[in-house]
Amino acid sequence: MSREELILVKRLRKLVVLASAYSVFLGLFTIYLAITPVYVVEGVIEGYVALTHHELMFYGTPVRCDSLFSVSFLSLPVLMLSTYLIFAGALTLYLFFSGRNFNVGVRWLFSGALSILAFSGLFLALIIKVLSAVVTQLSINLNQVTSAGVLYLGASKVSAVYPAGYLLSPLTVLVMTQTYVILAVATYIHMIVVDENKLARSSFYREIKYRVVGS
Amino acid sequence: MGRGSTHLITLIVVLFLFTLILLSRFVYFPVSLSLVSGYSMYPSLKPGDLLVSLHKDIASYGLGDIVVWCSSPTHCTVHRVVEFRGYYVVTKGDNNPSEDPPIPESYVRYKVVLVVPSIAWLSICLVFVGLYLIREKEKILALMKDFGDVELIVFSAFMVINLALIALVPIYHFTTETVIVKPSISLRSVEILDPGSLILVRYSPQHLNIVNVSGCLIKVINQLIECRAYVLSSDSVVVIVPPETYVRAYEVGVTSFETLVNLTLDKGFLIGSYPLHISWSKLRVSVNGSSLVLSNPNYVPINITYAKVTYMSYDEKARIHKVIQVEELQSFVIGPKNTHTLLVDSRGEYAYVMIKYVLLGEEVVEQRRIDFS
Repeated sequence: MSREELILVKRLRKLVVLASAYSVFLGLFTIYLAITPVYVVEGVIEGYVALTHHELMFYGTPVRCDSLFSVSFLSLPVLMLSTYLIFAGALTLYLFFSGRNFNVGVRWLFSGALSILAFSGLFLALIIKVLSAVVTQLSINLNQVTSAGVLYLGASKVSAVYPAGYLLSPLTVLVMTQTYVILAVATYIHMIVVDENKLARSSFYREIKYRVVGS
Repeated sequence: MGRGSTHLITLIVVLFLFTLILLSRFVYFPVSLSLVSGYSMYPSLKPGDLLVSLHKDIASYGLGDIVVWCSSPTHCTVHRVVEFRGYYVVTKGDNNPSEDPPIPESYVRYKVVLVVPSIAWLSICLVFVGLYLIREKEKILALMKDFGDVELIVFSAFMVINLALIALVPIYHFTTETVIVKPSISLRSVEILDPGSLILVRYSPQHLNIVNVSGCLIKVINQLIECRAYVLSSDSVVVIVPPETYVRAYEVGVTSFETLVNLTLDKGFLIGSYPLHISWSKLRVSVNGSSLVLSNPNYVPINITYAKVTYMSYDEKARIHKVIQVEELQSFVIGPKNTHTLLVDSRGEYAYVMIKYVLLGEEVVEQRRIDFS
């Protein structure tokens, strides 16, 4: 094996660990962001809004918000993809550390990257946009002046909750998903190059062997 | 029919369904499929129910019909038509407390003609997919081998799921007005109850209740007088007016005062200020038989400072009126909104009764004749 090939293999091994670990992290983190409250509503409307669920009460009565149900429905692929990333990452790490051929794992990681690249980043950004548009409507002021006088019923205030409320922005999502895409694609390319080198070497040896035996 | 034809038909049906799903909200299409999300139409429609809708050009809609209206391809709502206002349509979720804002008629795209419960369509789909997978196992495995790439399979699966969900799940319009009934309270009436010691304030509360009166003040010019008040019923409050209110108003000669009430509600509080008009009038003096009836229409006591009865007789021969006796009476007070009857003895043929009192700083003199015959 030449020096360049050795460097390539070493780099591939590093990339596999990095991409797999990041895949697991991204999957877990996305699920965490999806199930933890993004916004908290205080005041006359009380409750929280997460990507997957919400609970809002208006003077003890649940607030039925169909848009948030839509968001929950639309979050389903995000959860599915996150679960897939966790499994793909974990599988690759297992294959790598158990000394088996990790090519399948790398291909799974690459599949996740393709899915993210094609759709999910944009999809998640759409959900976040819809969610923030809905949430702004929850900020209401019920104080009013009527013929009976000045009626103080209070208001509701929506505030973003750390970490989901701050991290779940289109930019953050884009950066995190693109990092994954870069890592997965780089790993995949390295894997292909290493495999091709191996293939070329084995066919070269076969050719030499054939020539030697043939002569 | 051969297997090839069956596959072709299956493929056409699947493609047709996908076209329905994908295109109906984006372009004109006669039939549409959509998924219900949320509980605004509960119990008519439940989350996950599959709706089959026909374009409004094919199936006209009317009052009471469930329609799909969209303001953009992504934002659609499935609600019931409750009113037509010219070129606008008003819809409402069965389970929502309020109507949606009126929408232009052009927003309405489909009329829902069939509701397939989630349990039904999911079961059917699972059975069909399961049967298909079992039946075509070999072919599918061969196909997967042909693909050879896990990448393509995973990518395709996610694409289908994403596209199907985007196409099936519309993002509902949301305004707090349609799901939240804002409590409010308006004033129905304010009146002073005779003899002026009580003020009855009646309200029209909407989705709130009056708990108690936390504060009560009466403002006469710049002077604040504390008062007591209590909740009479779910919609009315009674203010007990301290007597000094009218005395003070009478003293300064004003014809109005303000009642400031602070109500504690079950959902907040109300600060109300209600101006009340008072008129200062002269005593109503009338003769009833041999009595003089004095009515005080005011909310303050009137002090009769001077009262005199002049008994008279008439000498027919001399044709003159003679004073028989003059009787001065003790001063007395007529209470607010009260009546005082002055009994006059039948001496002579008639009598003149004169009273004097002060109203708003001016002396008023009243005189009446009482005939005894």
